[in-house]
Amino acid sequence: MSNTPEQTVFIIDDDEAVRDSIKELLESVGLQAECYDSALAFLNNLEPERPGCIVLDVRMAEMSGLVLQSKLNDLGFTTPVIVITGHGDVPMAVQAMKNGAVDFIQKPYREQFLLDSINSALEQDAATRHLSTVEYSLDQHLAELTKREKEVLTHMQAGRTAKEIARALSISPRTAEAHRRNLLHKLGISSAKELILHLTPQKERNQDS
Amino acid sequence: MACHTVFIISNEAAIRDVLVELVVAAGLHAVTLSSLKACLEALRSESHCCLVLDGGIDDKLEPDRQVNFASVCSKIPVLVLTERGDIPTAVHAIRQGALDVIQKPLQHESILERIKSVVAANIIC
Repeated sequence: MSNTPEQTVFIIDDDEAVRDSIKELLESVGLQAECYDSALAFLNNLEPERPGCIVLDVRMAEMSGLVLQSKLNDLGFTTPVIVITGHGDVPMAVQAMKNGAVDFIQKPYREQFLLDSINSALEQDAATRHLSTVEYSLDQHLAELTKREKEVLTHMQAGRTAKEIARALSISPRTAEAHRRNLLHKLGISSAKELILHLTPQKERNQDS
Repeated sequence: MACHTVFIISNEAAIRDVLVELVVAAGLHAVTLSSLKACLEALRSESHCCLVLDGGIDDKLEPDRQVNFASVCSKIPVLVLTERGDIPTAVHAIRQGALDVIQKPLQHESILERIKSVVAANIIC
């Protein structure tokens, strides 16, 4: 099971009976759940750093679930959202999914169906958070590299071998290899292949912003 | 150059006929295909603007067809037609990358508007 113990399922529904029944279902399989009786109650206690997923009802007084979903998107909130509704239609499902919901479930649903969806949302959240931790720590380590190591890194990202790097920087292959080893060690990465895997998406994202 | 080809896939002759008629009346070129696989092949050779796909994307279908559906969605805007109220199919379609889901029975005006707006958005391809 890849679910880490501190993951929480945030249940947002204005119907107490629904909240309680989902919470009970989740606790029966060892998942931690927390209930909110309105979109605003959740927004007012927003803790983006807490891992987990959101189970969100559409039809609620004051602020609907879909409005809350858009607000969370605007805030850059990445926790996966599962939308549940008793009064859904196709356009509503399309809107919720296009807004990034991981699922749109109609009541009445089978309990196992909801549990499967929640488990997959929790896995997705864990993966996203793991990735951003790796990138954050890479960012910190990148700052520790020497000027020469950064040059070597640029060549490595272009897929060059130690020999080619040595020629490009007019240093001996042994020195180039030493720089290569040192910088991988500093970044906590085991191979050049893994380095490209971690750094390439980050680079592309930086270009986007 | 503008792309005018609208691919159409449906098992129902009546739906195919209506869609072809609408597309042609809008001054676009309609090509009916028999399967997603045929669509993937057609994408290689024909310039295209969108696919209108009627059914055949149930998530309980064989894996091959799922792969083809996701693959087509990544290459061309796809408008999926579903039965009224078929939320599971709509959810599945968007998750796999479909552009939009349109419920049957078809409203001629609205489906034509939708196709035209896709064509306008993809004028260069």
